Amino acid sequence: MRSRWLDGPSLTRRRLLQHSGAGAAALALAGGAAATAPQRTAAQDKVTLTWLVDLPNSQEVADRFTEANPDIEIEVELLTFREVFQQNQIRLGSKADNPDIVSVDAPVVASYGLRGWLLPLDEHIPQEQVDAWVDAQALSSVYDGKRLSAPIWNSSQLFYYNLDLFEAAGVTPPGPEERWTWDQVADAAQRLTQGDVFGFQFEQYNRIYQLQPLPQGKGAPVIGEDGLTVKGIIDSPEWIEAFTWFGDLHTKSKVAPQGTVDVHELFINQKLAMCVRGPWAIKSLTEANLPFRWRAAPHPYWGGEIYVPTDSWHLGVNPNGKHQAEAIRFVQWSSSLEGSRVWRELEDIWPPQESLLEEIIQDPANEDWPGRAYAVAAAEAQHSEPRPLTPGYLEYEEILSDAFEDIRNGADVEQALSGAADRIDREMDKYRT
Amino acid sequence: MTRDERWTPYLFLLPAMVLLLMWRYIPIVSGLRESFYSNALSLTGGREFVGWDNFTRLFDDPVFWQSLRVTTWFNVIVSPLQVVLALALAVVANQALRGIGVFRTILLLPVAISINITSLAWGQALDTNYGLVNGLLDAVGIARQPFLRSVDQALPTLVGIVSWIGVPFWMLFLLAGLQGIPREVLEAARIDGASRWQAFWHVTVPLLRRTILFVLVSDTVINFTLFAPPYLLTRGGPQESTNLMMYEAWQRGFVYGDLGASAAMVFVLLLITVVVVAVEFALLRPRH
Repeated sequence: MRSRWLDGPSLTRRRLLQHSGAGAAALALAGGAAATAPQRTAAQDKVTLTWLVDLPNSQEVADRFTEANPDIEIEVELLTFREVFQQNQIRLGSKADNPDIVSVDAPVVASYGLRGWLLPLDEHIPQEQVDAWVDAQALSSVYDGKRLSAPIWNSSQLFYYNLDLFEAAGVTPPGPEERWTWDQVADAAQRLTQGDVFGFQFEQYNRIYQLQPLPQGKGAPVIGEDGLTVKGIIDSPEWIEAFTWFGDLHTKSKVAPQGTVDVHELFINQKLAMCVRGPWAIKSLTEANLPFRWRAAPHPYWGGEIYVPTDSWHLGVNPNGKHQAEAIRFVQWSSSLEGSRVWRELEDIWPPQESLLEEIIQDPANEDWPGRAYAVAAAEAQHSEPRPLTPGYLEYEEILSDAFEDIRNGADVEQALSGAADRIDREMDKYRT
Repeated sequence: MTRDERWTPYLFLLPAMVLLLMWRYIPIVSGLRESFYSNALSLTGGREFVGWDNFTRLFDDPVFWQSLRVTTWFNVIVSPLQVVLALALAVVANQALRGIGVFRTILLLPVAISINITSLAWGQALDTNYGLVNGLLDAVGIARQPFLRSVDQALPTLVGIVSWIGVPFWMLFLLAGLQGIPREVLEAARIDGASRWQAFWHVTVPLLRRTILFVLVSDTVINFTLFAPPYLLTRGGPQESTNLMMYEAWQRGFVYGDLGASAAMVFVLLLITVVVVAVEFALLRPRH
C-alpha cells in the first residue's frame, strides 16, 4: 500500500506543475543558509495560509506571527475538536491544497504519515529545537524515521480535588507533592460519595488518553511491538484487573457517575469531589472564582512505575499545499521557544519545551495556590507517556472507547476487552500488507 | 396530439430526471463501483480493483452480522409500529370534535423539531443520573432505568425516540388520505348495518391502501437508513445493541478510513431495502 502511494500515479501536466511548485519551494528552502526559515525573495508576494484548528486564540497567535513575518497572513478556520479530524480526513484525503497548516493530534501522526498527508520536516526543524522538547513529544512527531510534525502544546494530567468536601467528610487529602495510589483514590471516593455528590471521575472517562496509565501501571503494554497487534495485550490479565477496578467504580461502589458526564460542570458545582484532568483546567478553575477551595496533586499510580498521560496538538504541513515554504516557517515558529511563549501568553497552554516547564516550576508566582497547580503539573511532565504510536490509532481509540463505555455500563470486563481486541486486530489487517 | 405535444410531458419531467440522475443514480453506481475497489487506504489515492474482497471481508466479520441483526429487529418493530400508531392517531384527529384543531397542532409539534435536536433532548431527558424521566420515576417510587445505557433497553428506547417524530409525521399523510374518503361511502356502509369497526376495516382501510403503501414504503426507507440517533446518542452501543447498519457503514468509512467496506455495507443495505420495499408493494398494492 505504502509503496503504491510513494510511487504515485502518473504525472499529468497539472500534477507536474504542482510538483514543480513544490520543487521550487524545496529548492528555496534548501538554498537558505539556515536549516530553519527559507529566505524570502523581493519578488515574493504576500501569501495567505489556511489553518483548521480548535484552539480559541489561534488567530491571535497567527497574527502575532504575521507581525514578525509580514509576507505571510494566516486565515484560521475555527472548528470543534472532532471537526478538525473529520475535515482533515476529507480535505487531506482528497488531496486538496488546503489547509496549508495541518493540526494533527499527536497519536494520529503515524496514521497521517502512512497516508502521505504530512510533509517531512526533518530538514526544516533545527535539532536544537527538537532537543528542547520533552522526550514524549519529540517521539510522537516521528513516523517511519521521518519527523512529520512539531508539537505546539503539551499536557500532563493532574489529580484535582475539592478541599472543602474533603474537610467536610473528614478525609485527609494528598499534599501537592504526595502521589496517591488508585486504591487510595477508590477508598476516599467511597467516603466522599454522599447524596448527589460523586467521589471521583476521569475527565475523559472513555478515552485511552486518560485511562492508559491503569493497565500500564500494572506493567502491561498498550499495543504489540509491531504497533498493530492487540490480541493478548489489551485483554491480558493486567488489563482485565485494571478495568475491573475502573468498572467497579461505576457499577459496584457507584462512586463514579455513569452516562454522559461533564466533569468540569460537576466539579465546579461541587457534585464531584475528585477528578483527573489536564493542566488546561487550572486556568478555568482559577478564573471561575469558585466558592470552595480546590487543590491539585500528582497523578495517581498503582504504587510501582509512574505513568502520566501526555500528548496534545502538533502542527504539520500539507504536502499538496501551494505555500509549503511559508507553512513550514509558521510550524517551525509555533513549536519554537519564541512561539511557545506567545502560545502560553495568549492561550495559557502547556509548552512542549523542558526549559519553559522548568520556568513554571521555579516561578515565585506559583508557590501558592492556585498557581501552585502549575508547578505540580509542570513537574509531572517527567513521567509523560505518549499514546501508542500506530497508524491505526483512530480505530484503536474508537473501538476501545466503546469497550470502556460498555464497562462503565456494567458489561463483563473480560468479554468487552476480548471483543475489542478481536475487532481492533481485524481493523489493523489493512496496515499489515 | 401533435408531435410537439407528445414531447411536452418529457420536457417538464426533464429537470427532475436530471436531478435524480445526478443526486441519486450516479452516487448509487459510484458507491457500487467503490465497493469493488481497494479499501482501507484508498484515501492515499492508490486504488486497486479487489473484486468481491470487501464483501467477503464483511461477511466474515461478526460485527457486520450483529449490525444486520440489530437493523432487522429495529425495522421489524419500528415501521409497522409507526404506521399503526400514525393511523390510529389520524383516525382520532379526523373526528369532527370541538377543539380538534388544537389537538392536531399538539400532535404535530414534534415534527417541527429536527431529529438531531429531538435525539439530544431525549438523550438528556433519559439520563440515569440527572434526566427528567428518571427524576419523575424516582418521585413516584419506581427504580431509575438505564434506558440508552442498557443492552436490553437501548434499542426499544431508540424505537421510541424515532417514533416520537415519525408517528405524527406519517399521521399527517394518513389524515389527508382519510379526509379524501367520501363521507357518503361510510354512511352507506353504516346504513347497510356495518359496525364502526367493520366500516373501518372493510371500507376505510381498502380506500386508504394507496396512502398506507406510500407511508409504509417511505417509512421503511427512512428507518433502514437511520443514522442520527445512534450517532448522537449511543454510538452503536451498549455492546453493539444499537449498531444500525448505516452507522456501522459510516464508522467504517469515515472513522476507520475503510471506504471500500463502507460502500459494500451500504450496497448490502440498499439491496435489503429494495427487497423489503418490493414485498411491501406486492402485499399492499391496491387491487382495483
